[in-house]
Amino acid sequence: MTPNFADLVRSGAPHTPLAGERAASIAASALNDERFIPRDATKLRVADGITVMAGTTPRAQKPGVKAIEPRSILTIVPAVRYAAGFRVYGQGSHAVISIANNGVVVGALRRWRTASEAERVPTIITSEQARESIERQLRPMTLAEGTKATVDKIDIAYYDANANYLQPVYRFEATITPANERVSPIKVAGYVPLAKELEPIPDLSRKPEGPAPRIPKQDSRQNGTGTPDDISLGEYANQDWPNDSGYVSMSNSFLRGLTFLNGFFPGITPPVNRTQWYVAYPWEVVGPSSKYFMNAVDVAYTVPHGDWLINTTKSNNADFWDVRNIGTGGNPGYGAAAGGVLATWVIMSCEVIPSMYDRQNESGGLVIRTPRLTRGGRCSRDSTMRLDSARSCFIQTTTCSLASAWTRQ
Amino acid sequence: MSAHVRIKFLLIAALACSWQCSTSAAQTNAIRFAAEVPRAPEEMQVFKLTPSRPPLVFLNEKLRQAKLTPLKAEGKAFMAREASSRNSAIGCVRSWIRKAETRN
Repeated sequence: MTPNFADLVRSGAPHTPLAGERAASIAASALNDERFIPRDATKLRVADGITVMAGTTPRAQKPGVKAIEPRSILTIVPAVRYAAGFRVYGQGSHAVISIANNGVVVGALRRWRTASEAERVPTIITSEQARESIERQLRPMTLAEGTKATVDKIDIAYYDANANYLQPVYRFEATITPANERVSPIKVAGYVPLAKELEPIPDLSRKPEGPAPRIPKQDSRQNGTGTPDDISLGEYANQDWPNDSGYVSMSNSFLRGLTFLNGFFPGITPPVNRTQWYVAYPWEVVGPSSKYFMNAVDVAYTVPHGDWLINTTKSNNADFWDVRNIGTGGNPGYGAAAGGVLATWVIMSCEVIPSMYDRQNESGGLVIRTPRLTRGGRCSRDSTMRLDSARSCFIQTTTCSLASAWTRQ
Repeated sequence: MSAHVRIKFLLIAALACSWQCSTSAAQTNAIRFAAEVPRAPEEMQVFKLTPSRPPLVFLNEKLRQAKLTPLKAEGKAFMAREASSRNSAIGCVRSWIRKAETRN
């Protein structure tokens, strides 16, 4: 059950978001409703609410639509699951309730299987082996000279693959700090199995499955835009993809998100064709060749790493493209006016397009306490890895500023 | 193999080994632990997962409260369609759940 933002913006509901306690109380009542999440051997806790803002902008094609300034329209309250006292992470065990400002539940999502106690298993890993496994998983991310990783947190937890088991694991979080200070540090999270694996547990250094990105020929004129009825998608994986599976995984997750509903209800959303699946280079984005790459697809998806107005294409320290080079050096820009088709560009990276708040914060004009808005704020690899549907992508975009979406209509 | 060739071979192997070791040490130094690995219990509980039943009654109640169309059976799923968007390829579904949930 997905909230309709257009309806909520136009509704007569109060303009101020629900107080934290009231939102938590309504969400707790819904999340503890056995008709939504059946009681089982695990426990559920209500997390802090996330306020979402929305507004409207008038379009030339629809005169009469008035602009509405962005304001809070709903609060999303997630559930956090605990098994045997340990927090559950993974693809499963996710549920959220969205509450409008008048207290009405306008959204509910659930990916939550019922758990029952199975056997008790011996833990087979020592602390030293766990450290070695964490180092092995982080090593590919520190190959670039001067890049450092700090393991900030290690917890005992359970992993839910949304399949058959909740399995005990060590879950770790680390901060990867590139040598180049212009590139933001990133947060990554991973797992080390505590017992014999009953089903696969993600490993950061495991090679991704599925087709690998190809090396494009510069100035290639072979890159079509798919059939006229399809939405064409271009995805460009960082050149370091053989060492870091995240680039390919997040691209594949985005594609899966776009094609997800069609898998159940064929024809319900327009077909999406990944017509370009290439290793990333700056000339695909800026320069004259970009018309055969970025501007030859309806939707473009580029991956980390970034900082204000720049984005790397090789690891986290080299082969940058720069937003300020769009429209210069033979690049005419994007979209129909520039002789192409690009309509939406999803920049899955930190801070590439700084917001007004970012700039105001840097100039010292405003004290902003939310970490997502401060310069040097971290983005979480764990969150980006969970972008398995367009819906969650939207939530991440609006709540964590993980992805900067730049759309030209 | 002459002694001269053997010494050469050993020298090359030692150089390769020292390069490998220094690279590996540098990579390890690039990783710092600011957190300890907690001690795990000797044995832990595994949980078996099974698909949860579709939350049809719950969702319909919430849809009605929000003055939205409730879910109706349609093929292998329960769907809620709005009259104004029946023919639209995008946006005709605001809520849906699978009737037979094999994967939750």
